[in-house]
Amino acid sequence: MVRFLLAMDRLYLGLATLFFAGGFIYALTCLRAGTYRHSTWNFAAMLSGMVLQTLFLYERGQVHGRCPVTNVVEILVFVAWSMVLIYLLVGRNYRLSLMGVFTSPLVFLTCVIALAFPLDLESAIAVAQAKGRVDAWVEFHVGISLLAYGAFGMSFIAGLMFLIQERQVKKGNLKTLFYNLPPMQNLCSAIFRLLVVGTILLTAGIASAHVISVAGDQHPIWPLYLIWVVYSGLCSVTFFRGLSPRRLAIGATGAFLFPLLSLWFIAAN
Amino acid sequence: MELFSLGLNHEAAPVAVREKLAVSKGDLGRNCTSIVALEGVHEAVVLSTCNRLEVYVSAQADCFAGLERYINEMDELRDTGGLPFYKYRGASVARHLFRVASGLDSMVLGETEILGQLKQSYAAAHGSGNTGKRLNKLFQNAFKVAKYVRTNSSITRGATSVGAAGVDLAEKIFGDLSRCMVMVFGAGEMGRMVARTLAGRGVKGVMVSNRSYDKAVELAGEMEGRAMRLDEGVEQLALADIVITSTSAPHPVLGKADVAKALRKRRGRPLFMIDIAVPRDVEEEAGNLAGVYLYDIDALQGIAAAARVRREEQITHCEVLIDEQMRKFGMNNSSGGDAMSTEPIPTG
Repeated sequence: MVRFLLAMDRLYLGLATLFFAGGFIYALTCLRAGTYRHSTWNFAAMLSGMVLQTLFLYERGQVHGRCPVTNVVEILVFVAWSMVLIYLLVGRNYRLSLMGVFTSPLVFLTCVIALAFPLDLESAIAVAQAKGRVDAWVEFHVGISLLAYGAFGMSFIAGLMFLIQERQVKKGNLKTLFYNLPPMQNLCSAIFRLLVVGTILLTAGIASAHVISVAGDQHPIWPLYLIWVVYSGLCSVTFFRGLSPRRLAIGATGAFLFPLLSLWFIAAN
Repeated sequence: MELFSLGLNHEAAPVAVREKLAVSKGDLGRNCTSIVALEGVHEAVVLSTCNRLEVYVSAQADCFAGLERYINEMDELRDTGGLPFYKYRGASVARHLFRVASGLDSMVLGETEILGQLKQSYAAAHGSGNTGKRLNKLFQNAFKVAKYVRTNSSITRGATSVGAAGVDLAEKIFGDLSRCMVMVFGAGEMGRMVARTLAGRGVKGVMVSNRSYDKAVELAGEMEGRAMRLDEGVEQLALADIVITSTSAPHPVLGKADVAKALRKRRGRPLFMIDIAVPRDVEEEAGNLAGVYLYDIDALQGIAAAARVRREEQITHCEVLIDEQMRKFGMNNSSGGDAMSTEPIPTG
């Protein structure tokens, strides 16, 4: 049964990857032709990809009997899933339709990397056999922290979009490819909101890690503290001192390096 | 029964002729009725804009002579002799109308106002009972084609005038302009024009600052804004999101230090500045400040020119889209269901 589910989850992930790639290629073609108006098809592709990612995570959850974040593949897919979820919630509501075009290649890349990792059949079976050791706080800690990573990932994308838009506006060179980028003010608001949401989620993640530590199952969380300091600092300076939109965008883009490095740290440990 | 179209536009006739042919909105229906009264004409739609007068009819036989006579007999044109009409027949009528509806035949390539005017003309003709099966179908298809062309090309993209380029850039920065304050320095004509365009987009408010207070009051009155003296305007700069300068001052009115001071008060909010004056009113170095987006007249004209070039590059693509729609509607063959013949464009 476990072997069958593992085969199915790779299929779901592969299909999700294809949807993200398809959505991106379609949107890029429309952008190049100057006919990109609405994000309906890109949105549909993202939604389909997310449904397939959810099925992947569900299958993995069935295998492990717990939140499916036990290895690099699952962590990557969970972060990508979080980003798509946040795009679907934020991108549509804040008229940031083109955000999907920027999100899909990043999510596609994440899925490709996840697919490139070898099947962890033995360890999955081993984890599946140890179902009795599931700790709700660990589940909560990992899940909420990775959702925060998703928000930071989206703030990275919004920051990148802002910098492109700012550059073409400053130069007075409104290129066809990026003509539909959202207004800078909207992007700036989106970046700040995403940073705040991510920081709140991460705060909850760190707090839950302390409950786990008290319970005895300790693991190093100093990377989370480092990330929290960076992002909460960015939010505070923006809120209290009025950081310029450009600096906020640069900050959000550059700060994403920390969550990325921490993923590498988690994978290495 | 066949389709005919006759008319003249900004390329065919100067404004002195076009203004005499202009038909007011209220008279469109009456003119259609008069044309339908001509021998052999069954349906008629009259399109009258500042750049064109066109008559679309469905008739039993060649009715160009009758239409020409009708237009020539309009008041004030009796003695002008032959007018440089273009004439279309059969499928060429549809192709021409589709081009007009899509903005391909407009003075400002790709402009969208023409579609509204076309709908208005059709509504007047339909309302006065002068359209039937053929023109109803033709115009409904024209509206669909216009939408199709705009959706599948970038013919409407980009601002083609200085004023529109200013608005376009402002929207790229702020998005919703209803929360933006505009400050105008000087009462120059170009500045007024850009300010009016922005005010037309529903900005939050307009402040006018001028060396001559009376002129500031006059311009502010036009835009329901607030007038102030020049030095007060410099002091209040931080309140503005969009600044338009067009004074005749021989030296910069706003220095880098003034702009930097305003930026500090704005707590990171961007400042969009359009300097239309020659010599320039804003120190060039102010444009290097983070959060300041400064454009002079050359920059805006460059943006507008680039957009015009991009639109021109789209013409061929739009023609292909129209061809595609012509085929879809069965309007490109001489033996088509409704016997629409393909004629050379134009026929006369």
